[in-house]
Amino acid sequence: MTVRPPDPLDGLIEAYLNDALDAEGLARLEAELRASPEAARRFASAARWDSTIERAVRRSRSEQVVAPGSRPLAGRRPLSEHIWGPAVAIVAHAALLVFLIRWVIFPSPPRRDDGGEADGVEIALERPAERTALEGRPGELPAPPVEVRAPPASAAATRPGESLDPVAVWMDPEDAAVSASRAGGDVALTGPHPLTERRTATARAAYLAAGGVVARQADEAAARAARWLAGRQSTDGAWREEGSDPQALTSLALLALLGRGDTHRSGPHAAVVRGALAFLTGTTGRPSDLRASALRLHAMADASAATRLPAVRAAMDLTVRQALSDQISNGGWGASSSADPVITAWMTWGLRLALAAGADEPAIHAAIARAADAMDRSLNPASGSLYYPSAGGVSPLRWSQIAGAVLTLQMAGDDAGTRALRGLKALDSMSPAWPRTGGESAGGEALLLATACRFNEGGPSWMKWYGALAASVLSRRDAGGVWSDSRGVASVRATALAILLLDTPCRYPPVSSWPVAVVPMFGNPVRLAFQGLDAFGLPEG
Amino acid sequence: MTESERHERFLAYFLRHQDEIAAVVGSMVRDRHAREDILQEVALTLWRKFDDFDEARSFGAWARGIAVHKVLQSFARQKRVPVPLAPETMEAVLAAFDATEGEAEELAEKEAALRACIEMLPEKSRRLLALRYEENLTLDAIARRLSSTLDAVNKALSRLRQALRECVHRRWAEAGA
Repeated sequence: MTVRPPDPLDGLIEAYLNDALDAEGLARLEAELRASPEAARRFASAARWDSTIERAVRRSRSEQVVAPGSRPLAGRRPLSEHIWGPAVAIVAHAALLVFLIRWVIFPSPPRRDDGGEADGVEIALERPAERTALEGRPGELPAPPVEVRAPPASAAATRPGESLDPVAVWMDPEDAAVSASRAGGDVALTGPHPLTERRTATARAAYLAAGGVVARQADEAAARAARWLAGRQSTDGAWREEGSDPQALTSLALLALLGRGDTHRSGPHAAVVRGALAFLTGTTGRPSDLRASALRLHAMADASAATRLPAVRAAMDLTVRQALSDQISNGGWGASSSADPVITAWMTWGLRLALAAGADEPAIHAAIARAADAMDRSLNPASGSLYYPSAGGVSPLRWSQIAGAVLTLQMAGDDAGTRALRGLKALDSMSPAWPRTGGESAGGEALLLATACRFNEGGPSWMKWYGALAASVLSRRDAGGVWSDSRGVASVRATALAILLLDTPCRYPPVSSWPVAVVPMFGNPVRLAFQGLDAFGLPEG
Repeated sequence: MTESERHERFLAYFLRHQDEIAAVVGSMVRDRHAREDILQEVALTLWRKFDDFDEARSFGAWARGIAVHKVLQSFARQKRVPVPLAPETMEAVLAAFDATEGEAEELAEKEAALRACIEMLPEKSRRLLALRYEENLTLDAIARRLSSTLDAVNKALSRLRQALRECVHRRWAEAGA
């Protein structure tokens, strides 16, 4: 093995590629690169080689995962290399074993705050059982009797919504990255909505090509689960399950399918999407509670962007108006005069989606800003913990509420403020694990909100979070490839939630790059990003 | 061209050039996670603007230009990830990547030889590669892990890259002969 004599420029380039170059060295390297094309070529060549080695190492590793038995890149870490030395490592492993036996293999039933025994997995998109009366909604109607209908005999059978009119287009042709033209009374769309562009087959293929083994496994699992979900739809287009509001559950299932790239006209579940849209747009009664209303708003906004159907747009506008009228005086949403961070997050998320999908109600901007102000006031900037405004005390609340508050701030464009960053730091101690019976993990709703926060944050935190999240979610599938509720029964709600979690990288871009359809000219208190649109809401350039 | 043909055409171009795009972005963005975020953005932008691409020109040059633009945009938007190079330096580097485009295809062909060379490395060297490229550890962390010094790790990695380059050239020449 021969080694070339050291050259000062090579030394600088190598140190740069090793991230070991100090400020002075970087200044020298930059001066060389700008002054000499030959130096720049050597730099490009070294960077290319570095990238090729990284790719080869990572691909070798992936193949070892797929084909165990081949020679590993690096052997098992020797005991002597453990940071505290072998003795401490042995004690730590023994303690871990005892912990696993005591708390995981033979767990005792967890206690609820009210002293009762909890029985099962907490995947709650309804009001969680442990929430106090403070957060309950006075005068809430009892849930209607559940009618579970048999799934349709064939997915190809005629479904409600087959007659949805795809002719008209509501979005301005000038809208960013989207143009539409009429041909023979139909609308030919020549580009996806910026909100849904990550779901296209091409974008997904590019993501999977770069995303590695975990991305591909997550995608395959979500595709299989979506097929199961589609088969559970009732004949009227809704999904029903004991304990769930049909509008909320249908919204959740529809979101999962839309997130996979299905629309009313394309994808393997187009007929199922049409059925769900027909149910939601044809249902005139309001959902049973605020959380269900927020989910419906979320689904209508997403479907508006994905389908551009006038009927869906009208339903979205209606749910937007209802959401705005439900906002309470302190700026959030919730029972009585208190803002519930979780419901506020769902509502703000839905409103921001509606804004991106084309809603032109000017009051949305102010509503989002007021919600963010309410959450801003309730986050302790020192710890990132949330103080419930009406509780009168300073008790830190649960993950779902911290995640809800952070997500609300992100939706308002305040993702880099002290409070949002502290909130994210507080979430660092939350584990991205699928809810486990008797475990200390967060509930499903907290997981979804925190995952959205982490995704919007991006960078290393997101990559680390998603890797652990996907591994945990995938490990909790049952033999049929779906997810179960606390009784161990395959559940539409749990499965839709799992699909949404696994598909997070492909559902929307980070909120900082969502477009808006209408930009108020003056006095806009909301700090929003307008990537692709200029200050007048027109495409840049 | 139908939409499906357009998809296929784009994917063919993209898959052929994605490693080179990764190399360009990697030379300017040292944080791997930030780099992966940007690569995803680049892929989407390329697809969105694919109609504007003139097929008489080089897809690689077009894609590299967009990638560098995305790097600049990303740092303007997300200041938490530092960019080591000034925009003028990035321009010089981009020009150098354009001028040496042929090297990329040559390297793609040599990847199998590179993997064989990595397999032949002694255990310690493979461990160093794994710590740096697989676990993405900083030199400081590697030095701590291996009870070594930052300078020693820096030199060892540089020597390792050079040794692999020579091994690949040797194998390639032997295969040709």
